[in-house]
Amino acid sequence: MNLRVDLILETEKRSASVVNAKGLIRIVAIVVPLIVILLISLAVINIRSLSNELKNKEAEMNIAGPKRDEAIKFRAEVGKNKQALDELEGWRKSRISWSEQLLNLQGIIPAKIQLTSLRIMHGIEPPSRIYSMTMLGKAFGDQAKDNVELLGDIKKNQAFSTVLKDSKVASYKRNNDPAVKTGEMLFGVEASYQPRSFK
Amino acid sequence: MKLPADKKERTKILVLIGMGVIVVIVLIFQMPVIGIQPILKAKKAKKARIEQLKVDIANANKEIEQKKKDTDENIDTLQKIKNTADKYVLVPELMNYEIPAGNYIDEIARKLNLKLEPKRPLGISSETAQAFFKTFTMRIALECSYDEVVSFIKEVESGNPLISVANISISGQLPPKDIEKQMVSFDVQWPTWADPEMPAKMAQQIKDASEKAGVSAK
Repeated sequence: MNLRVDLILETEKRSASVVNAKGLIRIVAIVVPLIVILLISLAVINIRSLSNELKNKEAEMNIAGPKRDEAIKFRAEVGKNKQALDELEGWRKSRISWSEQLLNLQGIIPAKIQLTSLRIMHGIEPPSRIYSMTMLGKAFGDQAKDNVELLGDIKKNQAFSTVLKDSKVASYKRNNDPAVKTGEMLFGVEASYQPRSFK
Repeated sequence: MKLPADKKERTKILVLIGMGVIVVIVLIFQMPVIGIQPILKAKKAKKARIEQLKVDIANANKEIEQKKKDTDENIDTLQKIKNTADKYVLVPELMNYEIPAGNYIDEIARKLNLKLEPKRPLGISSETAQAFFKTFTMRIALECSYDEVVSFIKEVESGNPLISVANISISGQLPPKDIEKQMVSFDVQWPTWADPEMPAKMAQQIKDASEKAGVSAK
């Protein structure tokens, strides 16, 4: 027969479990505030370090900022000077050597054609110079029409093909002046030059 | 732990435990909002500002670096302008453009032994729509052969690569006038500074830029 003697009062009995509610509450009561304090401390330390870095960067920017502003202002000045140089170069680029053009023209006029007037007009359509040419003259002989057509096709001539935009015979008619030889034809040839840009 | 057997005591304990649980929950969920969140916000703002400053400083340094290159380029540009402008841009004599332009044309006419009609200054225009240069135009008229006008224009053009000859008119003449000679007229256009003070300003800029370059080189 087994006999069990229990001398401990009900109120004196304790749980044998390692984890009990009271212990947990104690641990939580200590650990949670500790974690919160730790987190706040870390955040404060971090923010102080950031504040220092920010101060350093601001100091660096305070030195670099005015220098940058000066550099930007200077670049604008350089840009203006470059523009002045480009404009100056534009004068060189936009012109046509008329001595050369007149010489070439002299070389292609057929023998039986006589120019009575040559006009080269100039205008500006920014950013380019615009030139046009008008030739008036007389053509003689059997080949008069062919010769005038040849002159009207001046754009196809090698000496003018790179500078002329187009050319045409603008007028062709018989000279009805009784004082002149029969068969003399009056003509007009018009040509326009490719725009010569200043840029 | 056992709850007290007494019902009142047991209720008190349970209420206390309940309150404790609520406090812990509030602490866990509300603490970041109450305490940490403003700190985190401030941190985020500072970080963003620092990143922005890093970018600004890098850009500023690039600009500063570029200025060193710009300085050399600027001196070069100014020298080129000065060299070309001093030779070829028409500068007025006592505010008169006609004198230097007329001298240029007269010298060529003398060289080619050509007699000119009175030259007609057409004044200054802004037709090229340039910011730094305007155009001074002078109309030339003369009687000469076709070959002579070609030579004349050639001399005018070769003496100044910036000059532009325009509005050429060559017309034949009828007897009793010399039919070998043509009635010729043409315009000669010179570039001239829109701001007459510009040559002096450029010279000062070159001086300043050279001095600065000298200082930075030292």
